[in-house]
Amino acid sequence: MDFDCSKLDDALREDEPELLAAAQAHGASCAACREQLRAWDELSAAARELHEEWDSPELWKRIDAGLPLRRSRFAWWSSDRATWRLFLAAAAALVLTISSVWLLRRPATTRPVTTVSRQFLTDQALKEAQDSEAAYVHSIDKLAKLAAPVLDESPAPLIASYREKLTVLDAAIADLKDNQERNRLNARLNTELVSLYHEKQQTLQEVLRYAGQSN
Amino acid sequence: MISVPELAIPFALAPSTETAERDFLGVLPGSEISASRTAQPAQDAAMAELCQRGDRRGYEQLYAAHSARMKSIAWNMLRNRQDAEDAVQETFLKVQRSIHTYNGQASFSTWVYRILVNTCTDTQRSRQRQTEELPENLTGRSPNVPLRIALERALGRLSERHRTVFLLAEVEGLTHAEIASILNIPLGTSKGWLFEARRELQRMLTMGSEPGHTGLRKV
Repeated sequence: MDFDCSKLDDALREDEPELLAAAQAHGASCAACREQLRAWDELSAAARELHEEWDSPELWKRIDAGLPLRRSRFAWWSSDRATWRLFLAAAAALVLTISSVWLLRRPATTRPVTTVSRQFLTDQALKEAQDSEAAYVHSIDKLAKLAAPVLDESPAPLIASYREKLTVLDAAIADLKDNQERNRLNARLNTELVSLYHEKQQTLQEVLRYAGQSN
Repeated sequence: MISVPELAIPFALAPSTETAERDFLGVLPGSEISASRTAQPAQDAAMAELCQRGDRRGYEQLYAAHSARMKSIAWNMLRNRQDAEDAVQETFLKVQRSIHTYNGQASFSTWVYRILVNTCTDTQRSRQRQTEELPENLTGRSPNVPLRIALERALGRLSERHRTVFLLAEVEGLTHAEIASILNIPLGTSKGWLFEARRELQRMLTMGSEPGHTGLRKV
């Protein structure tokens, strides 16, 4: 590549490896350009020294405390697993003991519930729970439709906060429903889901109340 | 849609009206982010997805991967550790508040850095706190303390846009493509501003305006 002193600024401006290599090669025979390149490199080296690092042990805690996020549902389990294992082992031993005592001492006349009838009762209870959940969700959807114009159109900061909260709630509900699909009989998931729906219902009611007061 | 007015572009007047008209979260043609420096694209996308789902693990990963560089950028812009940490914290809150507007066109980490730079710029403009002179451990680490001191002082006298580009490029090692995306400016403008910043710094450092400096020779 043909390179002369007039191209040095272009090479430095473009910052392309090929051009800089040509400039370096030219600098071998040109003292003025060599000096410019040296000063250029020296400035870069000094600039890298300005990168600053220090420990901030409290920073993540501050950030975490300020973020309105969902905690991992199993954080309580992973945070102190050994304690929970011990607790579950003790609970299992207790259940076994109580079951054994009950089996040994139960009256002979107790009529056992057959597997078929137990399955029927479980299915029935599950269906009732699903029906009531569907009705509840339907009523919240109606509420959401009523609140939608306010949420979409109001420029008020409070409504922006409600929008944000509802977005987080909807994401949490969707996530929980995914898990629930895989584990329909997990009572804790169901309870959490109901509590999220309840929270959503209250938030929507607050939005509507706020809209009513503003009008 | 949640409006986030505090994420205004700090350089709206600088390059052209074209820049001001550009979508804040858009990315310029030819300014795709390289995979090398800010983050691996897959890791970046995974973090963004977690954050968009409101999962705190996304923010934990973002903190683990980028907080050191974020603090350094903020420190160099604000010259005060407390302000720098506050700016990083505020950036995370803004990310959380406006994550639904992230459209995936720019890399997630670049988008976060853009929010950080804007946050620092806003802080600079309304700051109360005094700047710090130098970190305590400087003398044990730097082989050329006078040059560093002179450079820090000279940087303080650069224009905002020149200082920011210089910090991102030379101090933090970001590419021009990344800087262009962070500052929402064309790639050529990033190169031009860096060149001008370096020329200006060299002029300040060689004209004897910085007492104690002996590092750079006249160019």
